[in-house]
Amino acid sequence: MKHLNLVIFAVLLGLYLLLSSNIKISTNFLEALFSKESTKLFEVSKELGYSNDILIATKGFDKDALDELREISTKLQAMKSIVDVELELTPSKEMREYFKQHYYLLADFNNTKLSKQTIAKNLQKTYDDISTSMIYKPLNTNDPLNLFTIDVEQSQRYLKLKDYGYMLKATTDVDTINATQARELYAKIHTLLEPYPNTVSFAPFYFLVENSAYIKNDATTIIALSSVLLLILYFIILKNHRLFFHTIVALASSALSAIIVSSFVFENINILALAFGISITTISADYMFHYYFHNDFSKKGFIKQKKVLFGFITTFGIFVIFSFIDIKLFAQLSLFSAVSLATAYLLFSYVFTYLEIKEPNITIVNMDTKSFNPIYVFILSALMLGYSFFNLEFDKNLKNLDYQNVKLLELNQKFIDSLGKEKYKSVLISGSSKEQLLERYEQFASSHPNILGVGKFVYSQKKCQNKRALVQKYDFENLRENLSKVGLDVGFKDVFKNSYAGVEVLTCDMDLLKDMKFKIIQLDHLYYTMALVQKDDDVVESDGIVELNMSKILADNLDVLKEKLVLFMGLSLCFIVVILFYVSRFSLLYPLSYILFPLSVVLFSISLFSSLNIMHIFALVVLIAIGIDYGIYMHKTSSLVQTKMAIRYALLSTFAGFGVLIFSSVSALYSIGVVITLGIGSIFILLFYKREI
Amino acid sequence: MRYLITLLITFNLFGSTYNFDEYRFVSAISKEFHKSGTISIDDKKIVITYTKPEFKKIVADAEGIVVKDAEGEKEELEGNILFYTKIYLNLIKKIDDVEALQSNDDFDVKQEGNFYILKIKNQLSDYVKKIELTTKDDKISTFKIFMLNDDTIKILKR
Repeated sequence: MKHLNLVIFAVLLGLYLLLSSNIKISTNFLEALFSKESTKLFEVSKELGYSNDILIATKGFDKDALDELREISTKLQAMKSIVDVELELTPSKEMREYFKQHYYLLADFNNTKLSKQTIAKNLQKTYDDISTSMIYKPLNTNDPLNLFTIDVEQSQRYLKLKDYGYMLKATTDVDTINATQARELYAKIHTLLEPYPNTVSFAPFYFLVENSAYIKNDATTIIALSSVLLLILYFIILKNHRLFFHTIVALASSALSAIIVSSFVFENINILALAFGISITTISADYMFHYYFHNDFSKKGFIKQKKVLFGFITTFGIFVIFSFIDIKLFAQLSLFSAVSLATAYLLFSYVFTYLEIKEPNITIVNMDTKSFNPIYVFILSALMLGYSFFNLEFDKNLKNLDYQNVKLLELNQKFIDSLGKEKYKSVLISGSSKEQLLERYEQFASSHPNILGVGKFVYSQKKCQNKRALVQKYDFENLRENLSKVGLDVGFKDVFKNSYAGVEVLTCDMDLLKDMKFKIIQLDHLYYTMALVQKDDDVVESDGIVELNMSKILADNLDVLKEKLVLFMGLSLCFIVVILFYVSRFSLLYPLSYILFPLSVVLFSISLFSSLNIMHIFALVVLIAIGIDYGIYMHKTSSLVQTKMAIRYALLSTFAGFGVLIFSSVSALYSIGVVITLGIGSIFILLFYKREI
Repeated sequence: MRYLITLLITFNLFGSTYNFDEYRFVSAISKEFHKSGTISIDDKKIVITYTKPEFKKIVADAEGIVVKDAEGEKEELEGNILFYTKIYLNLIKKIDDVEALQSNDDFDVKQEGNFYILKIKNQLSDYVKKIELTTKDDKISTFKIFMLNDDTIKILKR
């Protein structure tokens, strides 16, 4: 019985190791937070977009720079994870063949009938031009009358990075959202570029790699700080090494049981839910502190402490309520927390009584106490909440939560400017078949003539057949006859006898080539393509046409998330009020102050100094869950000193576990730290006001 | 001092300038046209100044191609004519660097003494059949571009 704690831990560890192959950890942050629809859009935009492009530029616009770039290009092509390197912008052989084959379909056709006189005038002018022009232009014997015109791409021969040098674009087939693969590729590229000190490279996935490196460093520092603080607290202040050891074991058991249960309920566990769940587990040390300082471990058997029980029920209840929210991340986190808290409670309340823990070295004094008037606290809180309600702004930009990698952001901007990307915005077009997709594209293009997309190269069958009919309706035979005769009259050799010959054999088999830069992909029975329109074009969304502004889509999603969280917070508060009423009847305003006051202080501070983000809201949930415990403990307590002590250490350990995040340079983590620190501070203030008469 | 000036004049690392005669044969009308002028090539731009039969200055640089005539009227080339002129000027620039010919990726080079035959490998093979050139003292002396449509452009250094 004395070793029950260790036995339970061993059993759970064994179970965990047994099931570890079935436990899947997911690192897909987006999938855990956003709706299925948004996640799908994100996937599609990733496949159609530039997230697999790597841009490398060498310094200078001279031959040496080009040679260097060519060397780099060759080395890149030898790398397994690089599928394509583009240095020269000239169209490939396949592209040229494609244009030759479909020239009459792709070009604009001027189908006015031309009289013999017009033809004569035209050819004479051409003749004169050839004879007098200082600039050489080959005679177009295929289309001497310019009936077909097509915009010749006047692009430069090489890509250039403005004010720097020539640039190449490499494409990778690595899954750039996967942190490990992205990091490997990042390292390989930087190693390859080491002998070329004057090169800069950039890719969208660099953010993931560099930021996660910073975040990892940041997190490691914080975890180290947190662990040191906790060790000091538990080990030195508690002075009971056995209790310290067993508490660690109990917390580990709680975490393990939560992981095991979660793996049965959820298909995969998101790593964020896991990380935060484990942090929340440390809050259960509260129960241990309370029992210890009240010397409850001296009697064997299940400890029946009404306050701890209700404290546990309220916290447990809140997490159970939240486990029903349909945001994967929060549901997972809540279930994890509920299970680990329950396990910890059971271990501390029962198993620890058999551990023969020595009593703490404090003088137990029972006395009457006086506390703050909850009405004043309530009014103050209401005022602060009122101010916040009118002044608080919600920050919908998810990017603000990330580490601000200034250097990379500037480089990103430079590359975007050079590629001219910021003149455009993306439109996602979809259809249940390629034909429907192309027809929707063509309809959309009719109101957006400057559109860039697959429609430049490939037509729907409908459009193609129409164009074909239009072209073949024209009497080219007659035209050819006239051309030949007139040509000879003007002085040409018989070079026009085969003009417009290709018109008879037009076929509508237009297949997209890789070089065309625009793709059509298929995902889940739907076909998608991305097109670009001018930034200030008005995009009217309709069936299969949607503006692909990922930040806007994510921001809208965040709004929905926020609303769901607030709703569930409301439900939790109702639940708390019910329990409090059962525990303290009409004096429930006192324990309620332990939630209202910290909540209002936090919201008030945020509305004064910054804006509310999704991480703040998440931390507020945690704050409510732990605040209520203290309210219950402190209410009408007759063992003031012990309770105060217990709470003090509980708060310190919460600070060590969560509040240290305030030292993080990552905005998302800092936000959590701010909420918890301010919350703990306000609870300390309330504690201070409870004193002996 | 004279030595320094001479050195500076001959020390033209980045390109060349020479007077030329051009014989342009247009197969479709079976006629040859004679022009002459000066070509100046360096890393940053190419300038062809025709003096006979009329004055025309063609300046091609990173920004584009501008054509000036005797009255000072400027015209910026666009469309198809810009496309072809670019091809032509790029070719001239490439073949000017005789030493780099063998290692140039764009050509298959056959050499007999100072006579070279170049077959085009890249996109330009759609327009240009081959180029024949002769050198003197390791510099270009003449070159002849054979177009696929049987036109030829022959440039002789004066």
